[in-house]
Amino acid sequence: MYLKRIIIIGILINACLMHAIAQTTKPTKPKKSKFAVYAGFGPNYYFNNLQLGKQYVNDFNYSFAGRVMWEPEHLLSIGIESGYYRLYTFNTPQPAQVHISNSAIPLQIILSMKVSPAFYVNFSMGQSVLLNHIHTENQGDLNSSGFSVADFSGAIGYRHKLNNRFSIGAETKYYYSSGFVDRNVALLFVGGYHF
Amino acid sequence: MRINMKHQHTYWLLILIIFFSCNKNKLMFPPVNPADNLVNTQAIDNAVMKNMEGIYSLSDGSNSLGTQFVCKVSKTKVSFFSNQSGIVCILSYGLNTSDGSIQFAGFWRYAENATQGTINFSIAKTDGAADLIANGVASNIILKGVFNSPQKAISLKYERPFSQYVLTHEFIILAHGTIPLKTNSPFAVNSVNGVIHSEDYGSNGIETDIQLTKDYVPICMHDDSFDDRLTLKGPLYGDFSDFTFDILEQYARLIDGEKIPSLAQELQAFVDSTTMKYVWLDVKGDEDIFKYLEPVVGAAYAHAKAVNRDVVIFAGLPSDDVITQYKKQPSYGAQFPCLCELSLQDAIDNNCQFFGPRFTMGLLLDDVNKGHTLGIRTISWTLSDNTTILDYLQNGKFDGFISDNTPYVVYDYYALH
Repeated sequence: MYLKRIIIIGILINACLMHAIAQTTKPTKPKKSKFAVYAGFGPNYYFNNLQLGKQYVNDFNYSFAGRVMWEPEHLLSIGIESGYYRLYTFNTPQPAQVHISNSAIPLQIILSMKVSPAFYVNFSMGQSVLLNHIHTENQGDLNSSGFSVADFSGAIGYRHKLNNRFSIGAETKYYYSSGFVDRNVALLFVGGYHF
Repeated sequence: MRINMKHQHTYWLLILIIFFSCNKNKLMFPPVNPADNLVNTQAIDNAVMKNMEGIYSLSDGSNSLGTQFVCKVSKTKVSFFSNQSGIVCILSYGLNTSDGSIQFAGFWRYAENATQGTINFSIAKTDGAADLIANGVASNIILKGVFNSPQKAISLKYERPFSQYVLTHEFIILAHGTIPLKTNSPFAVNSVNGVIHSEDYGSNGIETDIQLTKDYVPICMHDDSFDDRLTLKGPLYGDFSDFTFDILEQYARLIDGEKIPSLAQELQAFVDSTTMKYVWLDVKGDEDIFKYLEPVVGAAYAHAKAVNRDVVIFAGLPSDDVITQYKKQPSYGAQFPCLCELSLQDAIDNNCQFFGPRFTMGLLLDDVNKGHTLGIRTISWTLSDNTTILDYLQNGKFDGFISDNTPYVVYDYYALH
C-alpha cells in the first residue's frame, strides 16, 4: 500500500516534470509558413450614384476575385488580391440604343485576420484599372479606360477546411473605388488551396 | 496592447473623417432676388447703358459693400466692382416707363467666399435716368438702393469717367477657363454659360482649353480624361479622345449640367451673346489639332464679321510639341493670330502677335518693352491673388492677364490708373 502511494506520487511528479519540459522546450521542427491561393465568384450589387442616366443602370452584376496569401502561424496574414468586378451595365432604350459596361480590375495589398477558427475579416488597399466599354448601334464600339489610385475593399468571410489542402467558404465583400466614386458589395463563393 | 488598439481605432477614425470630409469645388448659385422692381419694365439698349461706365463712390448709406466702385456694362448686365475684398454686384435692369426711372435688381458677392446677398437699385428720372436715356450722359447719376435682409440703404454717385490712360490703353482681362473660378460662379469651367456670363464678372475675353474627340471635333475641356472636378458622374470613364462628340453630347455633362461644348458652340456664344473681344485657345496638343481648328476658327471669324463684331481669336502655343503641330498646318498661322508661352524669342520666331509668360516668370520688363516695339502684346497668366494683381498692374507693363479673380483686376485697373 505504501509502495503503491510512492509509485503514484512518482508518476505525478514525472508527469508534471514532463509537462514542464514540454512547455519550455522549443519544437525540434518548427512549422513552416504557409501559402494559399483563393478564388471567388459571385453576384454583386452596385450602389448606383450616377448623376446622369441613373435610370438606365443595371445594379446587379458579378465579380471574380483571386488572392495569393502568406499565412504564417498568426492571426494576421498578408497577400495580393486582384479580380474582375463588373460594376454596372447601362442600357438606353430604343431608338438610339447604347450598351455601356463599366468594370474594375483591382490590384491591392490585402490583410486578413482570423476572428475565430472559421471566420475572418479582410482589408485591402491599392489601385484599380477601370474599363469602359460602349457598344452603339450606329457608331460601333468605343473602349476607354481609367485609373483609380486609392481604392479599398473590406470583407467578412467564413471558411471551412475540407482537408489540409482545400477549403471552401463564402464572403461578403465591399469595394470602393475613389476614381469615380464607385461602390459595390459582392457575395463571393470562395475556394482555397493551401501549399 | 489595449492602448495600442485604442489608438489604432482613433487612427482609422481620423482617416475616415478626413476621407469623407474632402470637398470638391462647388458651384454657388446667386441668392434669389424676386426683382419686383423689374416687373413691366422696358429693355434698354446695351449701347445706352454702356454710357454708365465709370467710377462711382458711396454717397450715402452702408459702407459694408465698399466706398468706391468701378461700373462696367456687359451685353445684358451692369456690374459694379468694389474697392473692398473684390465685391461685385451684378444687376439686370429695365426702364420703368411710368416714372422714367431705371430699375436694377441682382446680387452682390465677395469674389473669394460664399458671402452674398440681393441688391436693388433705382435711378430716378431726375437723378440722371433722363439724361442717360436721352443723351447718354452719366455725370448726374445717383443710384439709390437697398441690399440684404434686413435691408440696408446704399447710394452711389457717379464720380468720374475712366482716365484717359484707361480709355486709350486697352487692357485684356481673360477669364481663366471661360469663367473666373475664384468667384464661385454657378457656371462650369469651359461651358457655354460660362462664356455668356463671364463678361458680367469683368472679363473682356476668355481663355478656353481645347482637345480633340475621337472623331476630331475640337471640344472645350481642360483635363484629358473624365474627372468629377469638371463633369457629373455618368456612364463614361477615360479619355475624352476615346469618345465621339455625339456620345459625349448624349452621355456626359459638365458639373453645372451643361453639355460639354464644342469649340464651335463656344465661339458662336462668344460672338452672339457677349461684347467681349479676345479668345485665347489653350491648345492641348492633339495630333493635327490645327488642321481641325482651322475651319472652326475661320467660321467664327466669318460669323463675327457678318454680325459686325470685332473679335481676336488666338491659338496658344504652350510647348514645343504644340509648336510642331502648329508648323504642320502653315495655313492656320497665315490666317489667324497666335500666342507663344515659351519665350519672347519663340513668339518672334513663330510670328506670334502675343507672348504669354507664366506670372512666376516675373514682370519681364525688357521682354514686354521689346515686344511692344515689335507689335507683340504680352499677357501674363494666371493671376488670382490681389496682391500680385496690384503689383503687376502698378509695376509691370503687361497688356493683359488671365485671371481666376477678374473683379480684383477690373477694380485695380480701372480705378487706380
